[in-house]
Amino acid sequence: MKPGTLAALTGAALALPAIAQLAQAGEMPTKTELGYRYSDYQEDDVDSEKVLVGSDQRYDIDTHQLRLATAVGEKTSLTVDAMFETMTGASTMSVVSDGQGGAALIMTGASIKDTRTDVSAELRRYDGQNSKAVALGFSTEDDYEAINGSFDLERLGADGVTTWSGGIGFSYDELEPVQEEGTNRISEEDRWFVNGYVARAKVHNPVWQTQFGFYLGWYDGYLSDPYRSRDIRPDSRQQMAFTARSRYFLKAVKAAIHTDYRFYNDDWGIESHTLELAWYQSITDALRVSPRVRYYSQSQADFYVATDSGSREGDQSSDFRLSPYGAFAYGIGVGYYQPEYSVTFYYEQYDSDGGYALKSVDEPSPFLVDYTMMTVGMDYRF
Amino acid sequence: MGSPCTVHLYMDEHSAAVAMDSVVAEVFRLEKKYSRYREDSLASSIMRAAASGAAVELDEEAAGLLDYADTLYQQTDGLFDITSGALRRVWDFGQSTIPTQQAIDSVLPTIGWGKVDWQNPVLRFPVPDMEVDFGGYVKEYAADSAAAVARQHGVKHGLIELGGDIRVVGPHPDGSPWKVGVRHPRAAGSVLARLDLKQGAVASSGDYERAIVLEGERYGHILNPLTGWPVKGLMAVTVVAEHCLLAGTACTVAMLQGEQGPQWLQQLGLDWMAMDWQGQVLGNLQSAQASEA
Repeated sequence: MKPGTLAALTGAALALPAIAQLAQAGEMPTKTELGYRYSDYQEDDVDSEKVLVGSDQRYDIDTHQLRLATAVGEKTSLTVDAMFETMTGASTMSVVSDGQGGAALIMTGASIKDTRTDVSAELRRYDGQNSKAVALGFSTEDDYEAINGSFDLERLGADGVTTWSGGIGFSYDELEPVQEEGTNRISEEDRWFVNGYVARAKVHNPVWQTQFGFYLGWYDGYLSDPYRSRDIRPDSRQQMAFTARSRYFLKAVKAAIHTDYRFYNDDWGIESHTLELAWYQSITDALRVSPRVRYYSQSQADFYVATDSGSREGDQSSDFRLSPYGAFAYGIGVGYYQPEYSVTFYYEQYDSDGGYALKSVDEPSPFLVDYTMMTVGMDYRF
Repeated sequence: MGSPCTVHLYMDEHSAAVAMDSVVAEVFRLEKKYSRYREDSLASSIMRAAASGAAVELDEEAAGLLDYADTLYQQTDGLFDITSGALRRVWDFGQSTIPTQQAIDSVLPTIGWGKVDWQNPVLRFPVPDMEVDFGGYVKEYAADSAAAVARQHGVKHGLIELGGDIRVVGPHPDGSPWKVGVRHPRAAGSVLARLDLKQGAVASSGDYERAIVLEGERYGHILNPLTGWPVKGLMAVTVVAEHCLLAGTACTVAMLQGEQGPQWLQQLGLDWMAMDWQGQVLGNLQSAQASEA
């Protein structure tokens, strides 16, 4: 036996039109699928000694999601997603110097409660292995409304094993912050967001698939946080990201290794790397367990400041999301799959720290977020 | 395909007839295109080109099949050879006689894929009287191709069997696997094993299909292209793979490998079972359920 015989034969077989076609996955749904997901996201509380004013409780978010996917006619599918989110906890109003060389927080009270409703629908038209889709969505919160839309295309290449996809999208958001006495918040602002992507997926052989993608996004409008006492950000933002994914199936042990990498860069000076590894292990035909680990590292925005100052001019923000830091997320998923229904569970622990960043960090935010998240889902096909 | 074929498709009534007609038409299309027994086939035109030493330009599908055969030839050091059909000029499995060594030696010079000039998509025959025969693997490809046609018509659940080689389109609608019996090579009508198949393909090969039995010696129809004589070592082989083409050709190569066949299959990495000449059943399919190809 020569090494790689199976790979060589599989590669030659995949060059045949019929076999390449069978190897492709993207197909129109023939059954109606109804899905429900519940997520509980809890940020760890802030060290109460670091809170000068307000609550030390950060966000708890409960999310309910519903999805309906069904065929409408012979070549068209409709997918409707609805999401209802309840957010409680306190948000940061300002990061100030504690007078001892450190930083302290001024938080809102813990009574904040916000709800968000998001509805979107996608119509996808199939033509053999190719498809195109339009989607429209609407999102509303107490202080925010947005509409969004997108168009995407998916095409099977002439070799039968490469799929090209691309799309463009937009979003228009209106902000109307809740006003409070003693604050000087904007009354109304808006922003536009447009984006586009191209991706190339390839089936190399029955056990290995890859996907590479390139993404561009542009924001224009009000991009600051209206609830922070001193938050001035540029009124535009250009983003670029490159993604690489690999799916490798280990048939002998009935497992799959998922490897995802993402490089991100924007004109605010943030550059980030995300690497995720997941092991999908089939225990039985129906039961699958997937431990996952994700690493994230970002550099800071050019205008990030560790503490707010009323006398500082120009762009500035003490938002921890613009700070330099790194993070590890550890998760485990369990799924039970039957032809007519499936049940899924996922738990994730997220831990961020300035010391986890790829490059050494001079002044990370002392208020980086750690969280736990749990999701349960059910899908029913009929 | 010169053998019984069965197609099972689950569909709603109004689209079933169209899907079934298209699947059957695809099998007939491939039969017509690659049969060496039809004057109007591509296979016949290739043979005419071979006789005259002319070049022939092939379409994408035929070129893909030759590339696949080329890969198999390289990977098996010439054991799988689609030019070995010339041996049929001296071996007639409808008779009860075997050819002389002299007769075999007379055709061996016309055998050898390495002697053919294949520059995709152009095929040339520098040596006269050579043959190229798709018969050794086109049936398996036809099962895959018919399954692809079924999928194009929205079929999610079904099975296509062409002369014992099986390609699953998808499990039964309730998700349960197809029950596939593996024929016993020496006890006609009895089953050596039962496999559960939800997807993928299963193919079998054996010396039971056509053979000459002379003075107690069995001469099977699978001929070694290097010696011109029937191979010995295995009575039957069954392989499960994602695609029927892969399963079928793996069976053929394993039979050609003779006693080394089981070792070759073991290293190949697909699920398989075989019965050797001592009647011993080998392979991981005895214990593994072939529910996932």
